[in-house]
Amino acid sequence: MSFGLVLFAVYAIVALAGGVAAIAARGPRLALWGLSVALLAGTCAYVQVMASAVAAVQLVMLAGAGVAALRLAQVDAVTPEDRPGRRWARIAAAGLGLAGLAWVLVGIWARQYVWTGRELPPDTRFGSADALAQAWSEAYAPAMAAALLALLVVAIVGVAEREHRL
Amino acid sequence: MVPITHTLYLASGLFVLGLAGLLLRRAPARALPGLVLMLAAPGLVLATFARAWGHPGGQVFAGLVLALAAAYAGVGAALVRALRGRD
Repeated sequence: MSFGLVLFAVYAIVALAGGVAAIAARGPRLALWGLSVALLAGTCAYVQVMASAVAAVQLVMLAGAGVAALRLAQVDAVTPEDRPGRRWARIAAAGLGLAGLAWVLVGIWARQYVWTGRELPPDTRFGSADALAQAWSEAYAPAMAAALLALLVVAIVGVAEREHRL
Repeated sequence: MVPITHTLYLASGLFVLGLAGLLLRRAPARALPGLVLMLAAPGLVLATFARAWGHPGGQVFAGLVLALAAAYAGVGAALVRALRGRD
């Protein structure tokens, strides 16, 4: 087993454990720590697939999620607990999802599709911020600008007062 | 580089965990971490396939998905605070 696979196994386990802590913790602080650990471990995955710029975006998102969670921690202290009546139904639904994932993993394990991706030249800039910016500006910027303009118009129409609507 | 299936397993695990969090937690403040986990998973899938095919477009959209997750978290936090303030 190569060093990359061992590294992947370590941070995958850490990410999944952090995810479990984020959804299962009773206190908001522990949930916040679990989410932070899961996102940090996910950042390692981005670096390993040569997406270092995306990993930087993930770190920024982690900081934002931390601030939001800290604000929510005050609210959560007074949020009512889950109602026991429908709790078992939701536990069953979540258990079905996890069982489905286990079924998929076990089912395809025997037919493991091992492909590490296309070979890239040794001096590639793939995944760097300038390469991403170049790809974005050349291929995606016009369509995204049009979509954002449409979104802006919809938002303005939506938030306008009734007598000023178009 | 690890095989793409490995990162797909990790992404699917994170997605299912986030879905379980959304299903199990009734309080909106407690469901938000699940939502962020669910949105982190497709970003990982996009970045993985971008590397696999050697095309940077997937990484561009992965960054957008992460920005969307941050926006959802912010809007969700504001909504929860506003709802609690109304009670």
